[in-house]
Amino acid sequence: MPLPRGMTQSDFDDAMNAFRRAVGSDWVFTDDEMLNSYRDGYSPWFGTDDEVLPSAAVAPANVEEVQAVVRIANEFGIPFWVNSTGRNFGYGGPTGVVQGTVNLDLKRMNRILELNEEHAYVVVEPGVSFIELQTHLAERGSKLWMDTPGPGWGSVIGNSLEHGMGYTNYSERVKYICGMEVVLPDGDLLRTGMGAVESAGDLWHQFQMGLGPYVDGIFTQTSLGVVTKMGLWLQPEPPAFLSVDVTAPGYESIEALVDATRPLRHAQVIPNNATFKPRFGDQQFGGLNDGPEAVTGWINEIAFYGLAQVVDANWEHAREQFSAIPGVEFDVRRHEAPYDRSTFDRRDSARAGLATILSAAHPVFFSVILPFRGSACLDLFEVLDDVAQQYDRRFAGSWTHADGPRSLITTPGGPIRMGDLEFNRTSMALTLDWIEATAARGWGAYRASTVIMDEAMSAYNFNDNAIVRFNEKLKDALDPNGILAPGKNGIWPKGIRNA
Amino acid sequence: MKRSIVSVVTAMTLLMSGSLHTQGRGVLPEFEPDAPDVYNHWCTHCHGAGMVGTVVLQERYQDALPAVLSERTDMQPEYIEAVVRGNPWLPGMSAFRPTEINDSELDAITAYLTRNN
Repeated sequence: MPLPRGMTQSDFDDAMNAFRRAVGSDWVFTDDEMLNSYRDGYSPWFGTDDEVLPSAAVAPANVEEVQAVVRIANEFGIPFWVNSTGRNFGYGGPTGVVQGTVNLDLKRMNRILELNEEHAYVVVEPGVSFIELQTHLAERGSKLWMDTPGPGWGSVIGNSLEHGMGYTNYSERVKYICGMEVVLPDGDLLRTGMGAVESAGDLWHQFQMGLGPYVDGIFTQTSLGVVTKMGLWLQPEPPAFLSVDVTAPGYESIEALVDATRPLRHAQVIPNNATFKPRFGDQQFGGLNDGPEAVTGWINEIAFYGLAQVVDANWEHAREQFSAIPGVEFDVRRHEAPYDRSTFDRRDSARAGLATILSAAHPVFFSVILPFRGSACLDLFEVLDDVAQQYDRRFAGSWTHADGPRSLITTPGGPIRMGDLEFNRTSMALTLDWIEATAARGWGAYRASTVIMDEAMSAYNFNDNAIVRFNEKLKDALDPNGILAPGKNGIWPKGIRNA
Repeated sequence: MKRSIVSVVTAMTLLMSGSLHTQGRGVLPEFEPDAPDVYNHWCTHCHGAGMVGTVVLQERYQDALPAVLSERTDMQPEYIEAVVRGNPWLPGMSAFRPTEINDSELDAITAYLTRNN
């Protein structure tokens, strides 16, 4: 595997020995056999010279060990790529942006430190996955529901920090983070919010802001710190849960579905991440040559949580609004506590906050923010289809989420075929053209794969990319040696900024 | 590079299509009572009956081999180890790091999957 840029073998060996003294020799990996498990098997460049590979992996077991390895990294100029469970597939998996970064693997820090039923929160370490948290909640007989992304093998901390979304009424999970513990790039230890008050106790996880600037945001999608603990608000089990698939026929029905959903999301009548999915006859996914004409209709996946009377009243109101759409149909599933969610219809697993693994396929995701207008969806899909046709492909439409109540997130991606380099080259060229075409319309990405981070960030170009220049000032101040996640989201440390 | 090619579109169509919804089961895996904890913790979420890895293998094997891994009688320890650790020349599954499945846990998984060979 490649060494970090500019590093001699002998300095690298010295750094590895220092890591071994800090975390134990069993938890520093340098042989290729073991490092294969730190590669992104879904990378478009897998097995080619362009694949980004780690030089080593180091796995601390606790906060003190994280501080120790961060200090060693500063001493030797070792760049880290931080991963919690390494399952950020479609966005780069466990691998970094720069060749030879050392993978800082936090999976051993897998404790659920506190489950607080009274104040409805949990405190986790980075190695805890959604599936593991779900098991813990079940074993404790907890009356709290979590929010989870589609695949539940990812890290609660990792996914939440990356602005990952679920499908419940807590789907904007980053907004439910309350209180972090962060190892800074110089090894110092910070607690945010009320945790900055030494004797805060459980108040740490009840009030987010503390006093002064609200800094949690700079530790999300970040290269400015290693989050070692995080409080996360969970929702109390709702007395009633009502889930509806609202379907409408025809490609253009997404316009009416979105426009009918907007005021319902604004007013929180629909409280969950309403998700719009295209249908291709009885299939959920089209082929590479399917354009908009292949879309036979759309589903809008909504859900309601709370007191039975309130749930029913909200659904009744929403139903009236949707009923004006020609050909609309409703598939309603209604449950009241006590629940056995394991028996729910599979379509409701994510909306009921159950972690599952329903997909093993991962394109190179390029997730775009759109204004909350149905016509904007049609505009975007037309732009993407126009670009795709230049590559003898088509684009029909992508899953689109009303995650926040005020905007849409849609998740097109360049499809990847493992081992088919020519196909993947085309997908990547197409994806880069998509980024350019959408940026020209003012639509930026909210999240991008490691293989397209610079390009995605280049859309954020107001005043000569002032947002990047600002983030790089922070980077230089907090991480002058550039040891944490160089190149993450197009933000580079000064040493290699112009390299 | 010799690798099986699973098209994303085909795989996603398979994974998300109606067939998964019509089996009358719940959404969570049924744990395998004879399996070691490490197998149920890491493997059955995809390789249990009706789960996503099983659906993919069903398509790949077309009944030539059992799609539920624990029903296989022909798997070799070296192969299991290579797939789990992400050997780049083998197809499909995402790798598991030693911080997730350590070497002795991998031995337990291998022993379980080869018990009927």
